[in-house]
Amino acid sequence: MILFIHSVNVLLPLIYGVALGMYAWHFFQNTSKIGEYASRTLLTAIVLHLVYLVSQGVHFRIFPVATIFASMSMFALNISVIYLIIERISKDRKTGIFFLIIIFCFQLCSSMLITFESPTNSILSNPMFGIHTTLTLFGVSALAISALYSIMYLMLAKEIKRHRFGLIYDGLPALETLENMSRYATGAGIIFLGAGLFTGHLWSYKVLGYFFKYDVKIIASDVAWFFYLFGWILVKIRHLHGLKMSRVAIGGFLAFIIILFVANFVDTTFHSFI
Amino acid sequence: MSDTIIAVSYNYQNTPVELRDKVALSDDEAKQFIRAAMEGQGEIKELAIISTCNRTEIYAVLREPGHFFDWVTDQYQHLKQVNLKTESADPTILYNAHAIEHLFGVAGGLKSMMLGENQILSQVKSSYELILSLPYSFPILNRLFQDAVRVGKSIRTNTHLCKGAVSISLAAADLTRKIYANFSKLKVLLVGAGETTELTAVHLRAIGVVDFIIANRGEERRKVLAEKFNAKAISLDEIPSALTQVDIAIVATKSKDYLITHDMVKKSLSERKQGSFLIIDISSPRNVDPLVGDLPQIYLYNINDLDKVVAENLEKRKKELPVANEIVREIAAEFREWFKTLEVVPTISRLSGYFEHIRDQELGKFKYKTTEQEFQKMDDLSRKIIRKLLHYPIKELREQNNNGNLTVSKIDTLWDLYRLKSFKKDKE
Repeated sequence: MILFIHSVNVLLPLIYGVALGMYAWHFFQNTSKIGEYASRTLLTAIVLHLVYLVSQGVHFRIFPVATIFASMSMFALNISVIYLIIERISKDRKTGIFFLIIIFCFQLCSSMLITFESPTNSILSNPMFGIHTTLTLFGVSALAISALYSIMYLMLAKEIKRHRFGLIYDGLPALETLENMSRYATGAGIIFLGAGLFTGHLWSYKVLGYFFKYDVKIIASDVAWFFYLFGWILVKIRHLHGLKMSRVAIGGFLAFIIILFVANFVDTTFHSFI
Repeated sequence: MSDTIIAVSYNYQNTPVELRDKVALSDDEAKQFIRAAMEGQGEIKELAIISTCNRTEIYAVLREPGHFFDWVTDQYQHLKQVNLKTESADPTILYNAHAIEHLFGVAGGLKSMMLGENQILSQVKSSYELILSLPYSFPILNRLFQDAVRVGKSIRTNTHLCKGAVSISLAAADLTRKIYANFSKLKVLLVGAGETTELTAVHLRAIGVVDFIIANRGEERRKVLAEKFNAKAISLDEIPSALTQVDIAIVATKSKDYLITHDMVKKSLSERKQGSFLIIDISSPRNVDPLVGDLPQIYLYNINDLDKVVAENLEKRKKELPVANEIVREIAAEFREWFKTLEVVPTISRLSGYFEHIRDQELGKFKYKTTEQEFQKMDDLSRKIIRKLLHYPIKELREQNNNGNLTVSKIDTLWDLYRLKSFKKDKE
């Protein structure tokens, strides 16, 4: 089993890399067949990724997000799944390259730096931990996707404003489509992240007897989530569109990442009490 | 002799618009033409017609190429009372390979006035559907038109020949597509009620826009256009308030002043609930202050910008021509290959004739050396032997032809093996 896990660990960035190459080819050359192959390759990578994570769970008796590099792999999988769903719904493969860059980088980093070991803390084997981290990571992935769509929006808006009709203009869907996708992804991100944080608090209450335990990461995540929620409500109330909404989505995600990065710097454990 | 495919083409390159109008055929007229051909006792085996504003083309399969153009002239005289002889019509007449490649080029948009035009493919499909709706058999044209549609689709899928707008009004519609996704919710302000405005509105309506506001100085003209597009008609003074409601503004008037100013748009932005605002100024001199383009969320295009877009797109399309031509050549070669396999019937008949000829020759040597009864027995026996010898080769030829496995090279080999070409000459 361990040999299989190690092999797939090497194989995954390779397959994501191939998919990235195909999506890039499709974006630059607009070859629909390559786009189809890219989509199939990504689906294969997702299936293999799932098998890889399940194998880790079975072998090490751990939910495979216990370390930062394991979480990166889960993050790559989440973005892959969410992107593939969006691709199938929108029938547009041109934005794939943007997502695959992130997915490939995260998986490569994870594959290179991950260490496989059984957990020393029993909390990490608790099913509640799995639910909490899965929901949280799904939330973060959705927010990352929202930020990516917003970046695409800004790029395309700039091209249209400057009357330039190059690859970006030809390759990306309409501004309104990008805006809608970003909006849906933000909504999904707030819901998933909110649910993830809530289950974390609930779990903390069950295990430790406190609904809110002082921990720099919990505080940072809760604050970031509230800011996101506030931003989302603000966008709704003030009818913010296009450029403004995209800037809010990108700014929000950057702020969220910076807060988490600083929090991680202050406290290098999973949580201060684990 | 094998069948001939012929194309008679009246198009924008060889026929003035007045004559093109006269030779244009409605669906009913095309049906009459086809009926006349199919029910006549002449040389025409199959006939199909493509008729658009830029071309009327008659495709036919003939037993003998000879007087087809005279027949076409007679039909025009008879069915449309158009005398092509006095009109000094000079259509392009193409045969076989040239006719096939011409039709494929037409379907691919290579022969269109606007290179890579999209609509022509659906017109070729309509012509194909028209022959399918008639109670006649069109085995060759059926396959020819199927392949033409295949060429059209392949060019549109595998090249950029039909991509990018190549007219001002289409460029405006293209920009709309790149900014908005839900066209039915869009509100469009048309300033000016001229031809360009109307054409742009037509293209916008074609992609799903339904809500228009028409602003024009002349009341009568704006009402006419408003009625045409089921739109609200306003005066030029009402433009500032309209700017707060619309997503797109198309401006095309002969005014010498700015009808949409920077301050006007800036003020409207604070009241607008919509996002992006596309303003297209097709007027010359410009009717929209160029500074408007500096405002956030505003995408301003003037006629020069759109001209540049059109020129760039045309250039891009021209670069796709070699690939598109290659697709035409490839599928035309496939068709010709298939067309030649139709020669299986003459091949079988020639082969049977060749064996019969040998039998006759050899049997003749015994005619006066045997009794009549013995000769009759030899005649029967040799006939049975020939029939058995030819049974499997003929069966195989027919089966391979039906399965599409019969290639030209196989037929050629057969003709070479038995020297069937020279056999005919000998007999003649």
